[in-house]
Amino acid sequence: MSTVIVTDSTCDIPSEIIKKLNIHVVPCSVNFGIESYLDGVEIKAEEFYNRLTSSDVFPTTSQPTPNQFLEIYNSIPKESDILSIHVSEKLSGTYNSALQAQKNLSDRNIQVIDSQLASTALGLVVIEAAKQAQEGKSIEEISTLTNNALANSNVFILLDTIEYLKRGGRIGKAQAFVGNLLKLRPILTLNDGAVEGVKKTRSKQAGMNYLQEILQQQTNLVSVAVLYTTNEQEALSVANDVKEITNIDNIVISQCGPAIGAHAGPGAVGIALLNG
Amino acid sequence: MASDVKKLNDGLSGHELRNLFESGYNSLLANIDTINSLNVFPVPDGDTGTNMVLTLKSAKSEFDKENENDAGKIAEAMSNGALMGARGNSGVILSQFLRGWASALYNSEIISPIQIVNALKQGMEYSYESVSNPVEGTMLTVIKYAYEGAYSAYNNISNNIREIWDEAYKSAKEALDSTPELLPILKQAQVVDAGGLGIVAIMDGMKSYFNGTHNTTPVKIHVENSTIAENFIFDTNDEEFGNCIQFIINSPTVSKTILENKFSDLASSVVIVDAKTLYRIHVHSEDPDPILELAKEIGTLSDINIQNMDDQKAEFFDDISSQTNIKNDHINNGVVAVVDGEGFIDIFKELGTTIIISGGQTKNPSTEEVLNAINACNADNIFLLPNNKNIIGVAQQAAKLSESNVIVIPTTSVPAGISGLLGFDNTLSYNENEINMLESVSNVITCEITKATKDITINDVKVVQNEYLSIVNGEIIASEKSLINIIQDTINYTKPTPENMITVYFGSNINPNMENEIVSLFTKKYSQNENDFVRGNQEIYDLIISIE
Repeated sequence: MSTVIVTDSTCDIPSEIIKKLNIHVVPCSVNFGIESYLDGVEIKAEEFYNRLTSSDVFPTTSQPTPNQFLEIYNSIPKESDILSIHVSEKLSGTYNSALQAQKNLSDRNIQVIDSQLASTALGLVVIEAAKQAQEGKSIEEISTLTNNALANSNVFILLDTIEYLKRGGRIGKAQAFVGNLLKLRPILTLNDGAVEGVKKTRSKQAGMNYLQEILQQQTNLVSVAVLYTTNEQEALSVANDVKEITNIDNIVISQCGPAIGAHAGPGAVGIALLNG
Repeated sequence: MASDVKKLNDGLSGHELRNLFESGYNSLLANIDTINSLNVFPVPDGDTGTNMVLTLKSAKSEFDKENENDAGKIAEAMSNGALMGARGNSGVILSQFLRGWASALYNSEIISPIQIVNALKQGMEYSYESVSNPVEGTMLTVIKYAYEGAYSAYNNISNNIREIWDEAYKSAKEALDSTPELLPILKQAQVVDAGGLGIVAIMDGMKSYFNGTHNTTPVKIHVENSTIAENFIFDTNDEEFGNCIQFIINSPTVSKTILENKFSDLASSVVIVDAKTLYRIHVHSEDPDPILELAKEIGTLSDINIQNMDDQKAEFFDDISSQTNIKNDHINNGVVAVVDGEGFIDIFKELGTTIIISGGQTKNPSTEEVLNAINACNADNIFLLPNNKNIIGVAQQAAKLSESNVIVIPTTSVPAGISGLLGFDNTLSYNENEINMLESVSNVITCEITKATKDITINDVKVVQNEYLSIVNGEIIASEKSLINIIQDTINYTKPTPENMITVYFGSNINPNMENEIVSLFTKKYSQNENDFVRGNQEIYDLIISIE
C-alpha cells in the first residue's frame, strides 16, 4: 500500500520540492487584525514581510482547523496510508487539529506525529519521509525512520533584530536572550519542542561565525537547509559556507513562512541540520 | 628623648609589634596624598595610597581585636586582616608581604633580631609570588632592598633591631629613589613608584617607633620629582560630608526608580541595588533620621549601617557595595562582575550576571567584598569578571581564598566583561565556559576617552592636562582638545572593518547635546559600521567605545 505524507505550512519547504515529492501541506492562517489569510495560498512570503515591517498590527498565526485536515485527508485516495507530521505541539495546536480529524476517519490508516520541531528542521525530516514514500516504503517503515530522524534534526536561527520576538511576546525560554539595553542578535534553537536561546551575539559577523562553528561540529550530516526571512542574498552566501564546510551540495534554501517569520523578523538567517 | 629609644636587643613582644605597625600605619596615612599623586597614567586612577591605607587599616583592626600578647598571634591577625581588606594590586602585594611576616613569626612569643630579618625575607618571597609577572622598579624592588639592607646589617653591624631596621629603611629608600631608572615608564612620567613610596612610608613610621619619636606627627617622606603632585587632580569628593547611611528595604510594591527619586530629594550619592523585592540603599546625608523615617514608610528595614564620613577619606570608599545579603538558590554556574556606572550595571544584570559588585577605576573592591559576592553567588563554579586592570589581583586573591571553584577571566575593561558575559552559557561545563569566555573577550577592542589629569609625554603622545586623551587596549594613543577630534583619532587608529560593530557608551558627564553631536558624527562618518549607542553612565571615562 502506498503512503502519502501530510504536513503543515510551518515546515517551510520550498514549493517546487512540495510538488516534486507530492507532499500535502495543510495551511495555517495568518491574521492581521481581523483580516485572515491562508499561509502560502492567500498570502505569499513577500507580501507577508512587507506588511510585517510596515504595519503597526502584529500578525498572529492560527492552526489549521480539524475541518481543513478532514478535507486534505479525504482528498487522498482511500487505498493510501497517511503519515501526518506536524509542528511541535508546544508551539501550536496544529497537531491536535490533525488528531481530531484522524479520529473522525477511523476507517483510514492515518498516523499523526508531533515532530517537536518547526520550520526547516521539520521540513528536512518531511522531505526524507516523502522520498521514502516515493521509494514505496510502508507507513510502518517510514514512521520508524521518521521518528529517528526527528530526534536528529534541529534548526539554528540568527535574528537580526529582537524587535519582533518582543512584539510577538512568545519568548518563553528565549527570554534571557532578549535584551533591552544592548543591541543583541540571539541565536535560537528548538529544545524539547520549545524555542530556546543558545547564544547571544552582538555583531552580525559574530553571529555568522557561531553558525559556522555549529556546522564544523557536525560529524554525520545527511542534509542541510538554509532558511531566511527577507535577505535571500545572505542565505545564498551562507549556503556557500555550508558547501565549503560540509561538502553537502544539495542544500535546501527556504524562505520562512509567517509562523516563524513573524517572530524572527526581517534579516533573520539560519541553518537546519539533519544528522544520520 | 634619648630615654625613649627602644632597647631592643632582647626582641619585640606582641604588644610592641602592634605599636610598631600602628606607627607604620600612621606614617602611611600621612603620606596618602603624595602616594596617590604619584600616578604614571594621566588618568584618575591615583588610588594606590588609598588602597594601601585601606589594606593596612583592615590589618590593624584585626590585630586590635587580638587579646593575646603573643607576637606570632598578632602577626597572624594582621595578615588575615590585610588579606581580606586588600584593595588594588598594591594592596594585594602588601597583604602578601604581611603574610610573609606571619609565616616567619609563626608560634613566636617574642621576635628576635634574626626573625625580623626573616620576616622581611619571607615578606619579599610572598610578595614576588603574588604577582604572575614581577616587574622591577615597583614596590617589589623596594621590599627586596629592605630585606637586603636588613640582612647585611645583621651580618656585618649589629644584633640590635633598631639598627637593623635603620639599615633596612635606608636601603629601601635608596631603592625607591632608583625606581625611575629601573622602570622606563616612571622615568617618562618623572615619578618614583607609588607603591614603593607606600612601603617606605610604612617603614619610616616603624623606624620612628624604634627611635621613640612615633608619638609626634608623622613626617611626609621627601621624594625627588614629586612636583607632579601639584598638577594632579584627584577626585577626592570634597563636597561629601556627614554620614554614609546603608540599609536594606524589603517591599514588593516599590520600584528602583521610585526609590531613587524619593531618596535623592533628601540625600546625595544615592546608590540602589535591587534583587526581587529587596533593595540595598546607600546614601550620603548629614542627618540620618529623615532618611530612615522615609525608609520605614516604604517597607521593612534591615541591616542598617551608619558611618561618619568625616573620620577619614578612606570611608568614601563605602560606595563599593554588593548584593551580598541576598541569598540565591544554589546554581551550577554563576557570574560575579565588578562594574562601574549604573547604565553598565543594568546591562550586566540584564545579561544574567548573578552578583554585581559596584566598583571600578577609583573604587577598587577589597578581597573580602569580592569574596562575599562569590559566597552570595551560591554556585559550584563562579566566573569572576574584574573588568579593570587594578582589580584583577584582588579577584585572584579572593578566588584562592574561596571554597568554590572560582575562575577569574582577567578582563581589563567593562566592554571586555560584556563580551565575556556573552560567551557564558549556563548549560555548559566550566572548562567549556572558560574557553568560550576567554575567546569572546579576545574579540573586543576597548577604547577609553577621558580628560588628562596632568601633562606628560607617553609613547610619543604629548598629553596635555585637561585635554582629552584616548587609551586603546590600555595604551595611550592620542591627546586632543576636542572630544569629536579624539573620537576620530581613536576610530582611525583602530581601523575597524565594515563587519565590526562599534558601541559607544556615554559616561555620566556626557549631556544630551554632546550625545547628539557624537551620534551624528558616527552617522556621517562611520555608517559603514553598525553602531550602537548606550548610556553606561560610568564615572571617569567620558566615553568608552568597544569595537567587536
